[in-house]
Amino acid sequence: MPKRRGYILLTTLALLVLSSTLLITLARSTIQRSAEARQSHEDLQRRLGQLSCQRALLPHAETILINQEKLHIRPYPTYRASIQLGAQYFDLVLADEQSKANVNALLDLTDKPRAESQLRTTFSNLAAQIRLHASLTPTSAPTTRPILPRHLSSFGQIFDSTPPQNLLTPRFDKPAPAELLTLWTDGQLNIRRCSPASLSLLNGSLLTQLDIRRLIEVRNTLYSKNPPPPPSATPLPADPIRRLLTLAQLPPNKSNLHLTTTSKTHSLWIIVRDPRRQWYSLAVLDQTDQDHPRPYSFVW
Amino acid sequence: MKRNAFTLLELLLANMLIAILLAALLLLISSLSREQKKITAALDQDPTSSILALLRHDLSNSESARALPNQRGFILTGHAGLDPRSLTPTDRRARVIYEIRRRANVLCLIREQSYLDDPIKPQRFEQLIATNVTSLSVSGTSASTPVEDDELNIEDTAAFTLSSSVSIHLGMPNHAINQELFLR
Repeated sequence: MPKRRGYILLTTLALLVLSSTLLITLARSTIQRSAEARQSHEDLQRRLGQLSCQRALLPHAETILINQEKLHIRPYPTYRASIQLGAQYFDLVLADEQSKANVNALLDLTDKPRAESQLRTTFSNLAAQIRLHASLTPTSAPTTRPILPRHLSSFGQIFDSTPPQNLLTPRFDKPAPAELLTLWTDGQLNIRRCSPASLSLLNGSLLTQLDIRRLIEVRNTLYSKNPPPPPSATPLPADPIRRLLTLAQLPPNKSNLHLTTTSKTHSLWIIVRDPRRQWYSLAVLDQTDQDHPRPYSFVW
Repeated sequence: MKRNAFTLLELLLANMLIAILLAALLLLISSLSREQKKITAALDQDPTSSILALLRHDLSNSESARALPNQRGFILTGHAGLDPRSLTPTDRRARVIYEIRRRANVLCLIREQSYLDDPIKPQRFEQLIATNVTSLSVSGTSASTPVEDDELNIEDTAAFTLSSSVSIHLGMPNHAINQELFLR
């Protein structure tokens, strides 16, 4: 009987087909598991990165800004940095919230239609509808300071359906909303760091553009190594705000401005980028009541 | 007669099988990246992970929570507003109720939202999140303090401030998910 060795080859090939099918099934399951693991790993890294940045930076924001001011010899209301963790990039924007105009204080000074109109003029280039959705019952506020009714507590209550990137991006010569506005301070504006635009927005009814320019010029001299001598021989007031007003040659009736020289509220925007998308988060820490710091958190 | 070679038929069959194997291998290699994208997309649409992602968003943007009795869900107050049409975050002040309700004899997890910053137009809307959910609860894990919530009149449970992390329990007929979520 002749040997039929050819069947061995056929059997081997059939086994190869079978094993290939098995391997393909195994490969699919492995791909799925590895995709799950990679996604979980990225999510975990992103969340831990956000929390770490928040906890490491936000409580020390004032120290960081003061150090930057010493280094650059100018007001430093916003500090930007980028870090990389794995394949993810974290863009950080640390800011002094008291260098921005508080919209609740603006609502306190004027009525809703006027405040809306003022904001529309300021952000005329922004592709967003500005409409103040003020709560009738304001959210609770810390009790150890003069209470400013907090009718507005998020940017979503000002800018209708605006993505967070629009809040952070300046358009033409107009500042970004998040650079100019705040909602979480006690309403006082830190004159050491505020911009002319925020000063004009909050105190526009009390100060002329000339007053604002003078005040900002005098403020900027505080940072120079050789400040110019006072204009007259009269002793300057001890209160830093009054002293600044005197140096800016503003009349004494301008002393009811919403100004301060210290900052108690800071914010941190964290933008995480990976090849697929961007995640935005905003954390605010209000340390007005040092025993009970009040955190606010927003995630998009 | 001694045969030292394969028959023509055997060679043809072998060639055919080799060709099929090679084609399968080529197809597998070319479909690897496509497969990976499909799997990643499927993971994004996985009901459990999408429920957890939505819960994480809502809890992260909320200030206080109040549990509903019998692990039926909870009520969140904060800035977890979603646009009713596009379901993108609006960041507006809203009350969000997660509740298990019976609809057409099926237990459904419903997300109900109404804006608190516009009493004239609260834009209340309901959204079906999942079916066959038997229990849902949230509890603060650290430094959760009771808060006064004047906007609600539910006497059964007390509202509490959402701290840095919370524990979520999501019960389904076959399994339960217990997860600690780090919020802020």
